[in-house]
Amino acid sequence: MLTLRDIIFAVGLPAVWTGVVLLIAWRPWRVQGLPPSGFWSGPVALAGSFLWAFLGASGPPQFPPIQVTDWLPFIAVVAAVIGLADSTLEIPRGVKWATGCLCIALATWMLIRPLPAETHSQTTKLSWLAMRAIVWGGCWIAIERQAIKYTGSAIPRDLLIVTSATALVLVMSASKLLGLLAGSLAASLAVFVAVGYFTSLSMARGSVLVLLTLLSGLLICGLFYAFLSRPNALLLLLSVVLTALSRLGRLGHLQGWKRHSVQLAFAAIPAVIAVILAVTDFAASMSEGSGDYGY
Amino acid sequence: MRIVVICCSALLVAVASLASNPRPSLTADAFQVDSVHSSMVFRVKHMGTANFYGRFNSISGSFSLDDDPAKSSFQVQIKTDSVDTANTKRDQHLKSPDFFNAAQFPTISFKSTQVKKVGGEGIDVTGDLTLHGVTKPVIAKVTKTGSGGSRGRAIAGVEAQLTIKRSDFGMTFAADSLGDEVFIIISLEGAKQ
Repeated sequence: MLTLRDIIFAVGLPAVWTGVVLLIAWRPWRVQGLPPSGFWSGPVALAGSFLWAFLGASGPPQFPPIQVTDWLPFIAVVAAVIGLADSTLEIPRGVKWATGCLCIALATWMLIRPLPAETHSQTTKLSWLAMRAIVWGGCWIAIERQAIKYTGSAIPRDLLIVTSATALVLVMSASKLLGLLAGSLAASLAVFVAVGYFTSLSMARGSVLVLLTLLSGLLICGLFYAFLSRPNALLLLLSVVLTALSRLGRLGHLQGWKRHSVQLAFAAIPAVIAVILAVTDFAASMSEGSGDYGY
Repeated sequence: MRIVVICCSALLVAVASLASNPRPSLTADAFQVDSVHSSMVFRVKHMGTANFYGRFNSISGSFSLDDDPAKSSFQVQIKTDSVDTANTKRDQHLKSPDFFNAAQFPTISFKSTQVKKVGGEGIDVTGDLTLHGVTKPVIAKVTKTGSGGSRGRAIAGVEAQLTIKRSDFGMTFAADSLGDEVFIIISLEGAKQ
């Protein structure tokens, strides 16, 4: 059950915050032809939305963090700072890729590290770290390259599908907090899509890094600390991977409805399957006789 | 010579007698918690309306009781993922990072640091409660609920009651729908070690 507070902090404030920041940065009313200069707004909008949702759901985070989820707002701030540096400075490409991958790897380690040694050995943790850093780092590089090339609402739209599905699946995987945090990113991305229709909004140079770092972090928390099933975690990851692949090679040359259909299908099919599986599992647990539990 | 033999025999008999019927121990009686007959129940207010009760099913530990309360001590461990509220989804939610975060904090523990007598039957047990990765001193009102024998061993029962604020332990989620104060009852049955 979503309370009024949940709706305000996880949907309303993120949407308003993102709207204000994006409009200031991308100014739909500006004279056409001027070079875009609003790259900085994406990291600010996404990280800010995430922080609003965290504050509303859980209050100010403890520092130093004790509970694993208390790392998430600090990860959001660090990713936003790296994103802002990328959006405002001319960073050599190699340094940019290395810094972004390091950011994802560091976030992964901060979230895996608190698992007790009795249940997860150091080797297991390092294996997960390596695997996730490679996969999510690869996805970030692929989507970032697309975002440099394609502006407007298409990329935010595909990422909105993945993020909305993640929010729904996490809520049904026994963590309302994680669901609300993913929901705040979805609310923010919905505004990206709207603003993208009227401007040359770009998610390059910071936004994609912040989003994927946080999305990856939420899935780690869901998988290791809540009850996100492995098939659903894999399907949501597949949705991100296919989004990263949907504009590569021959697919990048498709035009019109074919291009949009392929991009939508790549992002949506695994995401929708994950939502269906989560809903089915949730419904099955309610029919076991323990009654409806709507938070 | 006969006197010496008689004296030695008497001494041996006396020693043997002492060995088979030891005098009451001067130290406290130590009990191992019987997890099957021990319970932990908690109560929290839901939506500012009704009191909701849940329990933990896995309790272990030990306690010692002495006529001098200062020599008594209590040590309890509870497995976080044994939380049981008669609803599978709610149990999962309680085990998630929203509340107890059982994967990161698999154990709730209490260790007494000071025990003192208060009026009537009860004793005040001060100790460190570790919950959700945070350790804080708390005071529990403990009463001895009985003693007896079972399967050839002496047993004793105690019950502790305490109230904590979950926010003190970093459990701040759902502040608008669940009360901050949590009333806890821990009932222990222990078999003498």
